Amino acid sequence: MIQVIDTRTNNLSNVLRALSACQYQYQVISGASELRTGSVVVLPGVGAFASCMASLQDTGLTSALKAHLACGGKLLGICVGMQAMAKFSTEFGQHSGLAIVDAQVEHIAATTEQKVITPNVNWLPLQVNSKRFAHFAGSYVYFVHSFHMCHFRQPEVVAASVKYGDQNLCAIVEQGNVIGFQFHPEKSGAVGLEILAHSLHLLQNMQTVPLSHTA
Amino acid sequence: MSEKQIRVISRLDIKAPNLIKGIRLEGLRVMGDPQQFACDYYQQGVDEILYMDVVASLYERSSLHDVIRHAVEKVFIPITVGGGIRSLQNATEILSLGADKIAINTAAVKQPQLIAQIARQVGSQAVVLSVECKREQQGWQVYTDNGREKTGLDVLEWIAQAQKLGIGEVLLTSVDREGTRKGFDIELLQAVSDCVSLPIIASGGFGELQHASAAAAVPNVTALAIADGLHYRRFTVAQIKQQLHSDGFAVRM
Repeated sequence: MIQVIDTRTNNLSNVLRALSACQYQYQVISGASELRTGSVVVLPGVGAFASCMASLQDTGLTSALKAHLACGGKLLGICVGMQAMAKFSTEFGQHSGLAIVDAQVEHIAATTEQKVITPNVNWLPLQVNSKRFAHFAGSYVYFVHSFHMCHFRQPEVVAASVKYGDQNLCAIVEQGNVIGFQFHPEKSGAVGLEILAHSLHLLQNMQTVPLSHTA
Repeated sequence: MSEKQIRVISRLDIKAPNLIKGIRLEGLRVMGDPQQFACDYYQQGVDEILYMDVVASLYERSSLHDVIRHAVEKVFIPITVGGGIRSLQNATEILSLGADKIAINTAAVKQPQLIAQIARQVGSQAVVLSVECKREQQGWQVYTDNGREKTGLDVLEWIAQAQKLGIGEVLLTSVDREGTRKGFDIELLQAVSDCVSLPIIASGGFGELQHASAAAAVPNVTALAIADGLHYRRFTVAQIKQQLHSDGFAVRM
């Protein structure tokens, strides 16, 4: 069962079309009561971190998602949907995240000395660290963001990264029953759809072990 | 420091229901069904599609909705839409159809705060400032309504102001070069690059493969918008990318 959270952001329809193109059935949900035990929850997002979190808070999903994961549910976050998994973001003030991944979200320019063009609007090739994504090493995927997830307490959760200027930006997070993409698989052409389908397959076939730790 | 990444964008100027092409944004010629061109470019590996409704601000309407609706069913790459976006509601409508970014020119000049209002709602990454530039004796002047109306605004001052209001990218069209195949206006690109931290999409003048690398060499230019060169099948996306690659730029093949 795939459940897609409607966070009232504009890329929802694109994510749904991509799921259909991958031959996946899904259900769009907007509240905590609709979460189904063990389902794969997809959290899309574009725009600001705070409005994504506010949308989750308003619908009771902030705590419900954590409970969902603790009971063996799965989560796939896209762009701001991935950033929402961090402890906090410094976009327009400091805002708390879901604290699923022990990391924070900062402006790309804040984490380098070099002059850097922001937003990062680019197709960039994946540098893959995780065996489960080895097939996608070198694949170009589409990024559009000014903030990125960084300062990981456990750097091994970074399943793939990309080079941007002198920095390595986290592209894929993989931790227990959670996967996050900083890029937009729904806008990354044929390979983007493959990565999406592959990740949903991974999550669906994962043993439903409770999350071993939270940040 | 890694190689600089360059995107190749196909620019489709639309006078609904057709794809059109002009010279210096005038003398529009009908090229055909935009959907066929978009699908072809997607198959060829273009990195983004830019639709510009060329008569929208003249008639105060946007006729692109059907074009976008069809495109997003088959084209899984970023789509930017410009022309006739006059309000926050226009912008969110277009994004909710599946476009990723909106490009705004005429309405932003009339009402600069609209940029801030849209950026706050949908995020800066979805807001492209489209600037139509004509050379003056000194500098460049901003034009609106597809190169028809003078604004009295200096291009560099206008872009600096818009950057503060929260745009995410600049689409810089040289009206003088547009459709002429004489090459991008490199001085214009360089002048804007010097005063922004934003990515710039160079538009207007591509006619030879080496024109692509000349524009790509300007620091903040991260994308090239190409119309004529692709629509008349003078070049393929692969040829353009191959040239960029052999000149030391990174491209998605």
